[in-house]
Order: sequence, then C-alpha cells, then structure tokens
Amino acid sequence: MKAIIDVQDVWKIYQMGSVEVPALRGLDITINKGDFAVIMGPSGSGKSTAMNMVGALDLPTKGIVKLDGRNIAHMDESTLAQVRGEKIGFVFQTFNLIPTLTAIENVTLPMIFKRSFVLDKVEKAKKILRLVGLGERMTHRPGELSGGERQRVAIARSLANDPEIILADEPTGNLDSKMGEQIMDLLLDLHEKHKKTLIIVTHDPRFAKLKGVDNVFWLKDGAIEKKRREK
Amino acid sequence: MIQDYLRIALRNITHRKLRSWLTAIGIIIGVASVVALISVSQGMQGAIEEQFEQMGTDTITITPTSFTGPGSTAEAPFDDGDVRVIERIPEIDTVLPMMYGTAKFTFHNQDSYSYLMGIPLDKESNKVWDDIGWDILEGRFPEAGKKEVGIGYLAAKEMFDDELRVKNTIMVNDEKFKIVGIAKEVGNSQDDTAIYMDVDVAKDILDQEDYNMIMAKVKPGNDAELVADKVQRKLEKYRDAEDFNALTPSEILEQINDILGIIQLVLVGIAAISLLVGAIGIMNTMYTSVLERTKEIGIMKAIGASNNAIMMIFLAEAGILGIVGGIVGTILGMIMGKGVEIAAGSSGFIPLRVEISWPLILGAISFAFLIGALSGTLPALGAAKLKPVDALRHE
Repeated sequence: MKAIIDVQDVWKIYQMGSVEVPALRGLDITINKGDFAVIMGPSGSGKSTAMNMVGALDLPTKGIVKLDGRNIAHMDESTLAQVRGEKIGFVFQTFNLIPTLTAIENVTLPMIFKRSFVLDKVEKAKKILRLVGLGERMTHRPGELSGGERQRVAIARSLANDPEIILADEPTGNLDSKMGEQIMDLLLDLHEKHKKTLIIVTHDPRFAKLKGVDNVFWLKDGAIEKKRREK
Repeated sequence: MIQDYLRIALRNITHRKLRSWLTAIGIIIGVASVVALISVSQGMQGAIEEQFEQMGTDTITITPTSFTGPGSTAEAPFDDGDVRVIERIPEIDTVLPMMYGTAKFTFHNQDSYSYLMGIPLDKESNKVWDDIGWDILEGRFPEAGKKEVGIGYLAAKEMFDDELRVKNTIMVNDEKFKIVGIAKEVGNSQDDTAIYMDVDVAKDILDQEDYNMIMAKVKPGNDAELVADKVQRKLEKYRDAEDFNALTPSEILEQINDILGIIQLVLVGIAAISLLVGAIGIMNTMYTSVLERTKEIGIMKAIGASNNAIMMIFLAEAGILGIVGGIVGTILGMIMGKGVEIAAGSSGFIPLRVEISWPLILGAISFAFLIGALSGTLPALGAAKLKPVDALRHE
C-alpha cells in the first residue's frame, strides 16, 4: 500500500516570549491511501498541531511531512495552498463556513480557488449537496441552517475538488448525539463507497472502536504513545 | 475567477451595509465636489468663449494695463492723439474710441445710477456694431451728435419701476435725452444693464476728454494678431510708455483661460483633499474588515486559497467601494453643477452651460476606483500574508 501521508520524526516548537514550547516531539504517523485513521489524544497532547502537520496547514520546525510522496517543506505558500485545496477536504468542529455566502456558494469556494478551471461549479455543488443529504435549503446561508445541516454543507465543501483525503477535526463535537451519528455515518459512507482516505482527529475514545477503522494513533505529549493497526 | 472574487467581495459589502455606505460617502463627497467644480469651470470657460466669439476675430481691443472696469478709479488713458496714430496704420479699417462711467439717470422723478457707455455712432462705426452682432430690438441706434440714448435690454426692464420705452424721455446727469432704441439681449449683465450714447455727447455728460478703451477693426485679408502687434509698437512709440495692451479676442481669451486654469487648479486641489480623506476612510474600513474576517481568511486558505486569491478578494472589495463612491459622487456633482447653472442663469450673471462631458464622468469614476483599490492594497496585503493556522485559530 502506498502511504498518502507520511510524517517522520516531526518536531514543532513554538516560541512563547523567550521560552520554547515544543508541541510535537518526534511525531511519526503513516497513513495509507484509502485508510480510515483516527488520531486521538486529550487536549494538550499536541493533537491540533498534529492535524496542522497532516493537513499541510503549517510547516514543521524539524522532520519531514510528505503528502502523496511530496515533501511539503519544499513547496512555496501558493503551491501548498493549491495542494491543500486539491488533495485534502477539511471538516472542522465549528463547521467554519463563510457566513455571508449561501450553502451552494460555500461549496463552490474550493473550486474557485483551484488553479484549473472548473466547468459548471454551481451544478457540481448542487450534486454534492444532494449527495450529503442537503437537497433542499441549498440557497440558505449558514446562519439559517441547523448544526447538522451546516456540517453537511462543510462536508460537501470538503468534497468539492474530489480530494483523496477527508481530514475531520472533531466533526461531531458541536452536534447532539443523534446528529453526530448521522454525520459519522455520512463520513463512513464516503470512505467506504467513494474510497476516500478518512482521517478523524478527536479526543473521543468511541471513534477508535468504530467498525472499519484501519489505524488508531494515541497521542501524548507531542508524540505517539500507542498505535494500533487493524487487519 | 474574477467574477467569483467580485461576488464574494460584494457579499461582504452588502453584509455590512451601513459601514459600506459610510465609507463610500467619504469618496462620494470628494468626487462630487471635484466633478461639480470642474464642470462649472468648464461651463464658465464655454460661456466666456461664446462671448468672445461674438466679437469676431478681426477686432483689436486696446485697453490700459491697469484695471479699468466699471467702478475703477483709474484714469481714462487714451486721447485723440492715440486714436489718430491707430487710424494712420494702413491695415486698420475703423477705429472706435469708447468711454464709460457711472451716471445718474432720472425717469418719472425716480433716480438710478447705472453704467453709461459712450461709443462712436457714425456710419462706419455702426457697421462694426452690426458685425459683432450688437443689435436693436426696438427702435434704432442713437445718432452721432444728438441727445439720444439706446438702452440695454435689462436696463429697460429693471432700472426703474416703470419700464423704459422708445420715445420716452430720460434725464442723464440732469440733461434731457430721448430714448430711441432698446438693445437686444447680449447675454452678460454688464452690457445688458448699460445705456449707450454717442461718444462725443458722452464727453460732456461724463465730463471727461479721454477714452477708456479703443477698439479697432482690421481690414479684411490681414492677420489680426500681426496688426495688433503693429498697433502695440506704433502706439508704444507715440506714447513712450507700455501702459496698455493691444490684443485680439483670441489673445484676450487665452489670458482669461490662463487665469481660469489657475483658479480651477486651486479649487480642484482643495476638493482633492476631501478625496484623500475618503481614501483614508476606505483604508480604515478595509483594515477593520481584515481584522474581523481573519478567521474567514484562515478557512479560505485551508481550503486552497492562495495569497493572490485573498488579496484579490480584498482589493475587489475596496475597488467596489471606490467605484460606487465614484458613480454616486459623479451624479451628485453633476446635479450640483446644474444647480450652479440655474442659480447663475436666474441671477443675470453670465449664462453658463454645465455640460455632461463623458471624459469627466469616466475619468472621475475610474479615478475613484483607483483610489479605492490603492487604499485597499495595504490591508489586502496584510490579509494575504496571514498564516492559515494563525488565522484559523483566531476567533
């Protein structure tokens, strides 16, 4: 199996005034294409920083992060943005939709930022919104949608450029348990039926027990404490 | 792509309507005042040019260098000797010495002070008046040597409670005159409120021997400007002084335009200061906007927006504010200009026509856009440079 994400001995050190605070101390994470991986850890474990590395949102202080075989440290900011936009679909705990744009417009956003021209962005956005179960209310703004609906829009947005990876940060954290389950089902469905690599970053141990999980990484103090590989 | 950025920018602008309008008002005021000032001064220039066109191109005007308009205390500087010098120049056809001053007019026991012009009224001279389009509405021109007056169009209507008519008798500095003609409207208040009589008769009435100005008509086939130079030279030699100017209408026009140009520059310069304030307003709004939307910038960067894309969105926003301010400001400026036109028309001042000129409209709007985009540049650069992680963490 080919590794789509390869994090090798990554350190991330933040400068807080004159003190150096290491958030990651030699993190190693390898995720293969098509896998369902869970990165788990309590707050303060370096989980968010780890997600920033895996999602190419930030560069490591030391170590190597390879996205689909390419070292992200060797890319300039624009290329990095481009690669992020095309390879990774982000789903955030707080949805992070643009409040002034409608559901459709939020979903077309990654297509707008893509360097190559996307034909019929609106049609494509509608198709994806129907796929995630939001056939109606597509012209509503985030403020007019429920939490579950908003997360569906966010998931639809993450799928806009047909990325290989869906990276979800506490995707059910702001939803009640019933809606959370529905969103989880949707994500699992995308993983199973559409063969997306699914990475969930969470503090909730229940995700590790989900059916179909290929990898679980337990984080503590900025490094992997324990990992489990199914199959 | 561009239209997508524009749409996102437009959504942000309409999302916070009040602040956007307040920002645009800064530009609106600046653009409106610049447009109004430019269009009014263009209209003024047009009106003045029109006045000079009536004079024709072959009339030389000889005036003292010092200001000798109505109400001036300067001596009337030209005498019959000067007139003879000009008459002897072979390229000159007719010489028209003129004098003017304030006189008391009495009609139906009512006194009024106005502007009296003494002009030559012999056959030759009358041809010149005819050529420059100075015409009688009713009656005829006064005759040379007779105690007759012609009345300016407005003077007839407004000088006394009773309207002056042909065949009325009017007292000028306590001497009896017969009104023989009412002049057609010329278009400037100075000429329209004056009363005209033969220059030799005016000498007695105004009690002065000398002339305030001399007009000279050039014989056909001569270059008026060359002849004007010759008049200047000959008269300078005779008078042994350079205290006068012999100019053709186009030369006078050039001088007036020079002065108008300076006034225009100063006024527009002052108006431009308000544009600068408007630009600072846009910059301020854009900085606030970047600060407020730091998280959005982070989101957009996370889902693939390059620095350029972020920059474009914010530049578009500032540019739209500028262009909207420009459009509304131009319309407002035009309305203000028209208002000045109407006010000037009703006050009997030189009638100026404020025209809607496309170069001015397009210039004003594109300039406003440019100002908007320029003031948005620094905030947009700041937005583009934000790091996605830092921006995402921002609440």
